[in-house]
Amino acid sequence: MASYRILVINPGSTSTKISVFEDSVELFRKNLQHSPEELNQFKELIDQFDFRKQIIENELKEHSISLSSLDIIIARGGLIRPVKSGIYKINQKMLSDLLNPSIWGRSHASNLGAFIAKSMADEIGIPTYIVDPVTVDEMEDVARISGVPEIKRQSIFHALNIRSIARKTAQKIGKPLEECNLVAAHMGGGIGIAAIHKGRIVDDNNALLGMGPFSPQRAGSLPLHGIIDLCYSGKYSKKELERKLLKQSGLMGYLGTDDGIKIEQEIENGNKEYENIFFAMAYQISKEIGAYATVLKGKVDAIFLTGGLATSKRLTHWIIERTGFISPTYIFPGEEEMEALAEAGLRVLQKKETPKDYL
Amino acid sequence: MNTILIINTGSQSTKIGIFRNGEIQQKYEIQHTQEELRQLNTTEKKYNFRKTKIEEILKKLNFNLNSLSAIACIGGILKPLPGGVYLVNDIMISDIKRGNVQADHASNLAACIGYEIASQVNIPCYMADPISTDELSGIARVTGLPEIPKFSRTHALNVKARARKLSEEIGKPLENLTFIVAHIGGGLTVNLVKNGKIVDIEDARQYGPMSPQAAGGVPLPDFVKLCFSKKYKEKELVKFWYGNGGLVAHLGTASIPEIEKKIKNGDEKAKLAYDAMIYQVAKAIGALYVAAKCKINGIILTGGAVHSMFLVNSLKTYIENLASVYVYPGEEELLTLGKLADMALNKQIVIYEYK
Repeated sequence: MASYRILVINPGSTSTKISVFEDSVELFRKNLQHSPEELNQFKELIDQFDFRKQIIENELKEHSISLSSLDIIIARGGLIRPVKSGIYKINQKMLSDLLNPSIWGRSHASNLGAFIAKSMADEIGIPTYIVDPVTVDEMEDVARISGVPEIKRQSIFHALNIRSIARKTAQKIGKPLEECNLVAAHMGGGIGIAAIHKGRIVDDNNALLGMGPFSPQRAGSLPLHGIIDLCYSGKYSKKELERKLLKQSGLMGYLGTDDGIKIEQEIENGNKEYENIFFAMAYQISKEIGAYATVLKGKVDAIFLTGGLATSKRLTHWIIERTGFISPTYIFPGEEEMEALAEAGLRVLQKKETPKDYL
Repeated sequence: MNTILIINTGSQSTKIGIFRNGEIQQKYEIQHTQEELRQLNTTEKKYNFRKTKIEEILKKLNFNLNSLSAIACIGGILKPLPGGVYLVNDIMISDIKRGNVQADHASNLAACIGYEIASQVNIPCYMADPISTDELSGIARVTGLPEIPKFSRTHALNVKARARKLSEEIGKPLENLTFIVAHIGGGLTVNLVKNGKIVDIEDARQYGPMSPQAAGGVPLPDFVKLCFSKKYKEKELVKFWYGNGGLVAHLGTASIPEIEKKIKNGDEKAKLAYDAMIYQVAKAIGALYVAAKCKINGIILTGGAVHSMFLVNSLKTYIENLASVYVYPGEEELLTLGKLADMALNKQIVIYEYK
């Protein structure tokens, strides 16, 4: 049986991850690091296009993988318009939306993926797609309403990893994903909690800067009277405050570090402050899982914990101590974005899933 | 037998009750118009206005102050305090008058007026479970930003009264029980009550569910944008967020019967906003359920909005799998204060000294 060769491209803020798969077997993976000096020479994110593309092509050459041997290129999806989950063909509309800051008001390195993938794929005439971008939005209407009509709650989360792990969790339970009620917690730099009702993500806390638990760097929900005080104090510009809430809050705000290994080390050494703050994060994650279990009316087949922080036994133990009564909990440490992207590519090539058009 | 005068100075009305023999024997309420209240621009004017009203009521009731055993006052927004019954003293009055409190709120006037009357006839004056009751556990106070800790401002009097009531019904001491108490009125607080203490809270003032009048939590970028938009001055934003947000902002009214009427007439927008409030309350209950390690002895729904069976039944579909749900509509502030003062006089409960 002929095998398929799949190139996966996943640009992050300080690195570009690439992988080549032959069907389900990974031939090689490389995390290409970019130094601040290299990246600082570019004014806009899109200016990094040639630089990152060149590095990828060099790397493929080094592994003696010719472009023409590829069957498909899959990229991580960026900040496009809200879409249903699934696999999307990269088209002009998508590329122009990725360049349009009015949609999200910010850019993200993952936006580059579609540009690089499309450019390489067009050179050799093969199909190219993105999968479950962070803007997947399948929220119920009732979940969108906030206490102010002008402010709509939005869905932003680690759709790719969460949906991939949801599929795996469903396998463990022994039911099709479409029949499962799950609560997902992706715990990384941001922390995303989602309620999955019969396979559809009906509500999530918005991991980018939404509500819910604080994360290693981000603030999570805050008492709003305190935010009013800060905003009107004259101490911060809007940009400074946004940066503080996105980068200098959470573990970083309390401990001056978001390095999980260092924090665990300090706790081992009996540092009570570190333990208290790390525990508070676990407490907030647990509470958010409880909130989303209630969205599912308490009928939860399983909870799963994933993302980089799920490697911390201390953290997962603290969470399960509180949530354990709701349902069984499965732990999938780290993330499997590259696998998830490759698997999606394979499903397309094997005609098991029909890609959607981005409209 | 103890006779207790109860004073409740609400934001829109003044209520008086006479408690004897386990019950409210007489009660009287005066509504105040917005116009009347707007003219009272100093604490002294507010105080004199309410005091005159109370004296009028007492005269109307033809009540002899010398027959009183004690006065019980609603507890306002003082400094953060552990819950319980407090003997009103000079220090408390001075704190209220000097503004050494979290907010200048009508409810703070009750203690001042009660204390003055009590001094005339030489009887004790009590205040119990004030709005500024703050018993949060250390862990519940931690937020994502060190300079903005969580604090508690809650319907402590009603929340604790309902918890006591349920513990009596269950027949176990409150000290061994854990409840979630959702108070849904104009304001909205969801309280985790453990061993009689409110150890964690989700509320419309901080980032919890929206209420009929308060906006509740929203994503930070949206909120920061609003603050910097120059659309509101700081005071206006606070007023909007806590008084004209939530259902008022969506539907122009905080009246549950009015909103339910709209829904019955097929108003989709009203239904969505109302459902969203219920949904958010359910999520808050779920969060506190897990905070208690899923070990709770009951969920109590109370406050004015809980008179609505529609609201109770919708909320129940989310939470009835978690624990038994008990519904105590309304709040019995006068009766609760009367009972607490009665117990204080009979030395059946601890009386705290305000320092």
